[in-house]
Amino acid sequence: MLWLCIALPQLSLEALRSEDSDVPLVVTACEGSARWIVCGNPAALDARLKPDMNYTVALALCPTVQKLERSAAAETAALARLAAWAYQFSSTVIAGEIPVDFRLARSCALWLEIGGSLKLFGGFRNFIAALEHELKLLHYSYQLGIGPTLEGAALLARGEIRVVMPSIAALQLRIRNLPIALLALEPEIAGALHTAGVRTIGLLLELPRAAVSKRFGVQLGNFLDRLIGAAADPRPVFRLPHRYDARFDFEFEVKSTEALLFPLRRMLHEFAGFLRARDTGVQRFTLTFAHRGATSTPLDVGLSLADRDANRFLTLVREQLEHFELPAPTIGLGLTADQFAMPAALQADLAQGGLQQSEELAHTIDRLAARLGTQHVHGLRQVADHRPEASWAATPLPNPGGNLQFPERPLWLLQEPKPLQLSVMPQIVAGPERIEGGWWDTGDVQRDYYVVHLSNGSSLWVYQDLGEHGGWYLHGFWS
Amino acid sequence: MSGYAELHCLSNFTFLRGASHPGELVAQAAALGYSAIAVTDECSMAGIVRAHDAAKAHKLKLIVGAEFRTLDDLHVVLLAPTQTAYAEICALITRARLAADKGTYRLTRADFQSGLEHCLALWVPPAEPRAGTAGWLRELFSGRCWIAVELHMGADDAGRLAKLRQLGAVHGLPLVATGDVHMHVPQRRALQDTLTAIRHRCTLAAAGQRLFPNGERHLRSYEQLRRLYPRELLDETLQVAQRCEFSLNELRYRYPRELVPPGMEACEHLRNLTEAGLRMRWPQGVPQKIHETVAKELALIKKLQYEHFFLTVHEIVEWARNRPKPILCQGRGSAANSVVCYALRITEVSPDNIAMLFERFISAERNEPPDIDVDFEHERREEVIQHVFEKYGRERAALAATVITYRSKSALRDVGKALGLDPDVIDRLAKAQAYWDNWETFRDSIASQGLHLDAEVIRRLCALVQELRNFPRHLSQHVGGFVIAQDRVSDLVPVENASMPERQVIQWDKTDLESLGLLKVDVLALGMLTAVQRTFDLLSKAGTWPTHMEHIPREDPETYDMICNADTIGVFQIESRAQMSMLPRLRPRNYYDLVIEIAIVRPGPIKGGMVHPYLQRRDLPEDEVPYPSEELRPVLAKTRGVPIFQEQVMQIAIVAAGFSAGEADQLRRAMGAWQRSGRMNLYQQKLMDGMRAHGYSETFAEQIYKQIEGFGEYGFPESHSASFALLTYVSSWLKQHRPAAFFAGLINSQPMGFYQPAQLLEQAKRQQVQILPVDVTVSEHQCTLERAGQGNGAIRLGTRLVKGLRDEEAQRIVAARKERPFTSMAEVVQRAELSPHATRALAMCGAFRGLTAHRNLAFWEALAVAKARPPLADVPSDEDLPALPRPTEWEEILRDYYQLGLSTGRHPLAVLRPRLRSLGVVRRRDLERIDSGSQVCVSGLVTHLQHPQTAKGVVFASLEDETGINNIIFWPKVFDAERHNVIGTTLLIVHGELQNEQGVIHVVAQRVEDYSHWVERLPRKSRDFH
Repeated sequence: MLWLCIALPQLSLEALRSEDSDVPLVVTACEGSARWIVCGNPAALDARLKPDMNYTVALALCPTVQKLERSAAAETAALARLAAWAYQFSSTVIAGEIPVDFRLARSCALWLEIGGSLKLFGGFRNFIAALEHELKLLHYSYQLGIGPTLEGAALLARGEIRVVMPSIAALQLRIRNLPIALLALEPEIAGALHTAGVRTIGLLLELPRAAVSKRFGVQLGNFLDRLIGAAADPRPVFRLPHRYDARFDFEFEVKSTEALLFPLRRMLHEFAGFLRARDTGVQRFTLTFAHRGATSTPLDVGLSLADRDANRFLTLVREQLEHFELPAPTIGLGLTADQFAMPAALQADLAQGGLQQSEELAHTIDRLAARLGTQHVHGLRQVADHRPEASWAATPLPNPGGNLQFPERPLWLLQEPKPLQLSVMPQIVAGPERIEGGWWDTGDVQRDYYVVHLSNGSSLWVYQDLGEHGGWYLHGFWS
Repeated sequence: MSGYAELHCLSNFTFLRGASHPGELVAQAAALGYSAIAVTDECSMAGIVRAHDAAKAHKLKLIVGAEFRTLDDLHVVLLAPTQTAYAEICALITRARLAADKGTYRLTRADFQSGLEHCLALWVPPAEPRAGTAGWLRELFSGRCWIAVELHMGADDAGRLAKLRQLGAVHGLPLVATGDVHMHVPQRRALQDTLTAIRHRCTLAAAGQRLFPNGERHLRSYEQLRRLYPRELLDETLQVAQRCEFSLNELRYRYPRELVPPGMEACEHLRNLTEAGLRMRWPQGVPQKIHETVAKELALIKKLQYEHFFLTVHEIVEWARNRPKPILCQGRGSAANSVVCYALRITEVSPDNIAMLFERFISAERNEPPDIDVDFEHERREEVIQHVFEKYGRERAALAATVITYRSKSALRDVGKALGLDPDVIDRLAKAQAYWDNWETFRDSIASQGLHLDAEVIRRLCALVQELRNFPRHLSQHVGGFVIAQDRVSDLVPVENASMPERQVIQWDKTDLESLGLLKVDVLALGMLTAVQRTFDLLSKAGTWPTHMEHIPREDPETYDMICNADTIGVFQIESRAQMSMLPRLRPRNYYDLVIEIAIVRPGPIKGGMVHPYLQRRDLPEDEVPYPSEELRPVLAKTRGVPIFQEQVMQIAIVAAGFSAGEADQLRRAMGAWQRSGRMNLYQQKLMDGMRAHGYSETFAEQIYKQIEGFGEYGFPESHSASFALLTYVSSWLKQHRPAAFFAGLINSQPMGFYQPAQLLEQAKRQQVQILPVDVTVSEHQCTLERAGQGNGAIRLGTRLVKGLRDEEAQRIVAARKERPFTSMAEVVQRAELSPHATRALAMCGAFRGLTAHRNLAFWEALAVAKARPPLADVPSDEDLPALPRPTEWEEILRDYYQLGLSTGRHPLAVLRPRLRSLGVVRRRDLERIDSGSQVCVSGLVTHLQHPQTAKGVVFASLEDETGINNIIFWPKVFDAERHNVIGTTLLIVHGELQNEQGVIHVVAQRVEDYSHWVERLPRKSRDFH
């Protein structure tokens, strides 16, 4: 067996962001009450921000730093996409685990058994060239290592030793003087070894295995055995799914279509890798744009002929996006495909909603919506706010109801209060009711509300503005 | 009769509800022409004294009361028409508060069933009042109950009024208008909303209906009220107010009487004790002058009936001295430095050494109480407190409160949260607002932090934070101010739970007590007394002297030489950078010089510009010392014509501005309560006018006034300084002559003082004291003394310095060793039952040095200690030890610092010296031989960063190298430019100009380089901006 390890030291960052920026950007994680840097982009490193640094310290060093929250889910998704992509180079792909401990996040890796593939790609050199060519298109930071064991290959990758170690003996010799820090051990164990003066892998391997296990648990002894091939290292092998379903969630909302192209490019390249791995093509796939607090927007991409070229996919998607308006900023992308190299058949139903109202009401609302346009029909919800105009909010159907207590309010409230020219003061039936609030958002509201009767018998809800502008306004009608 | 009295009004002592200070409410009520105002905080009297003070100033009638809400939905305001009713309310508050956790209370209707026979009750009915409640209240408070009608321009005020009228008519309860006031002016609405959000721990946007619908809960003008309420409801407020005749002025309390033997008068008993004391103090015969002073003092004490106060303090001090192991103690304060107190052994300051200002001792004119603080050994003060509780019982003794107020940072955090700012942004703002930053520059500092906040948001934030600053936040326990009474304390003031279990505090702080003229006894803790006692213990064990304060030779020249050289690290009071820089200039040569030194390096004299004139005149012959006038010569003679002590400022007011003694005392109190009342300007005018009238120059008058301003917060009277100077001398003598014992004693009393153990030990090393490392085969828990080859002994570090070792484990090591010596590391672990954690900590700092080849092996062994210890018989198998490398010297130093906070090896800078030398860095010691004005380059570990308020933006840094401490001055411009290189760094190289003024050496920084990476794993030890 000969393993190629693709180590992904920046996965925590790159799973959240596919393009680089000049602004110092770090991924952080909280432990206890403190926040720590997991990894950062090159601009952050230039600003002397380092992994494992306390975020408060980082802020003092570089006040302009931006931060993302580490997302294990995003890392898992990215690794799954990469594994599918890698399948084109090897039929034995192993995706590493996403470490829970943020201090080990940089040790995330993927393995390919390449002994069987070298011939297929025309020798070692060609194989690596092809792999790196494809890998670069995906914009991940990576390190490669090739060795006879999984952990051995990973260690070589992290040590940036780009020399093939075909045998256990060669491996052992090469890693003797490497620092134990490269082993990506649990930080407590690494620290204790350092304190005891055990600084090189060679010294650690020489220590009686029983003494090591007694101090650090059998896991460490077992790990060392697996590292040098003295113990088997069975792991679940990645299986290529029948249906392609990839997700890429962002840390923040992306508003412009242009900015979506970066992550899209990577996803399409990964997709193309998957297609090559299955040796197939696709004639139709679906992109899904996720929005915060709203139904996601699907976009079907159809091709006249089955294809698997990422660049052609991208051109196509870009064209389609130009004529397509997204209803809200995007916080995540999905790419699904389940029909490979086959003519498209089913149309996705745009209108599949989750209405669980009675059919009749639903029918009425549908008719209303059809006549007025969906954007003009919405439900109502109460909001705890003293300001009348802020005490309700539009909500997607159906209406969730509510049980807040408000003083009596007119059913018909004007969208905007209307200035009133009062020549004669109408008859006041009730009031003044003083309402003051909202200084923390739109500016302060200070009003005295009155219920007035007009001679024509109608009742109005009017107020006098107590603020700078003054004057009288009509705000609603009593039925 | 027309007019209005507000009967339901919350101040900001109803924490996170009331949005105005008590004084603001009273002032506004007076301005609006109210007939009276009741301050009725929720289950609290904490703000009432402040309201009382303000009411006196504004000549407005204050009604005392409190609001209550029970768990079963009763909302009622109780008012005190008489002192009995006041005591009833205090008792109810006490009961409710003691039944709940700190900061909360617990009441049900059942608590109202009895014990409130004299209170007036205002019922605030709920939206849908229950008839049963009305009936019940009418029965309970027959003829003393009203329905409070609170109209705030709600949706249906008319309906509400009608409903309550009917309720009143049916149940025969009268109606009265009240305001449910939460703020003094409507402009506080935003703050009140914010407080509500903070209280509910939500943002303003999410607070919704928990906010009031409008800002009507302020003090409204009679015209406004007239539009809302029927006239008879407003008139009724005056009826209620008229019945409330109680004023806090009536409060008096009696000190415990049991200290006087039966059949004897208190004054007689005090005279007997005093006379016995005098004979002890002057065995050769009491001088006539002393007799006269005592007679005068005793007469005044008798006249003002303070005998019990002196007897109470005397009892506490005697008790402490007569412990099987006596507790060191020392009194200070104006009354403490009386001859009576000297005779009673409350103080050691002899009247021969210091002249007293008798009027400050007790103000006859105003019947205000004397002041005695007693310091006890820090670690044994708790015994004294327990003694007081045991002797008088918890009902009769309670601690004064301290009002914890919002500071800029806490206000910023709470307001920021309420405004919905991102926690990280708030964090950054709070850090950006380092307290030397002027609030006005806050906006710029926000921008420079790379934060882009909406200008409107910043404006709101700033405005609210400014309003919220100084708002009371909660009550905490005063460090040791006791109120001890003959009867129940809770008749006087409510008592509530403190956060410490079994500890109760009254709802008033020490200014409140002073303001009402109530006596308290201060039982304080002083770390230096502990350190001195421990030094004596060490000396006694070593079989040498001195072992008592009295044994220390007085006025020792060598000790003063040391002080003049500013060689005072660890010495009481004169160890700070500011003090040390003054010592070579002031050159104290006797006890009284020390008294001056301690008082002069204070914000008061510094702000008042007193330091330089004093230095200039110090060495003038007496006849050349200029005095502002002949009358002031006696007042200022001992300080060369320059006022330095608080007493002198008062006496100047008397002599030069024509104040009476009582007025001068009021002036002093106004100085202390500066921020609270703003009453100072009253005195400013009087003082300036008086001095002008007596023919003093405008400049002198200005100067005196400035100094009073400076005293405001940090007043330092001669009487305190005199007591402190004694301890300064004692600690200086010990440092000079018994350095090993002194520094061991100091370290054994940590945390205390200005320096960390590492810095103290570095100083000990410089005094040729040998420092021996922690070693489980010899170390005790505390540091101990060992004999060394030459010099004055060695300090054996105790295991108390080892971080991660619990006290019990440390004690088990010592106990196990006493049975028989250890022969192996495994044996120590097993016999002392050490945890894996403790074993590792000990291995890290080399404590197994006597039993293992080196620390790496010790640590390797420590790693094998299992969490669950094997049974005693099962000795850990002796596996072969691997060939681990020996740690380097640098590694050992780092581990020492990590585990002990200090190293017994070389100073880290000594190790780095060759590299530093190649960079042109000189040692601290070398600076003494370099000309002032030269360009130098120094380096050191950052041990202190300071930004004194008196220094106008100048920052001082202390950099320790192996020969001493480099004092660095950063002018504001330089500091701003180098800020990132200074804050949070460990090792600095500073380029700058050497300044040597009379042996005071500073380096004025021009450029800084951060070399922290050279000492990367060295923990940072600096104390910054505290």
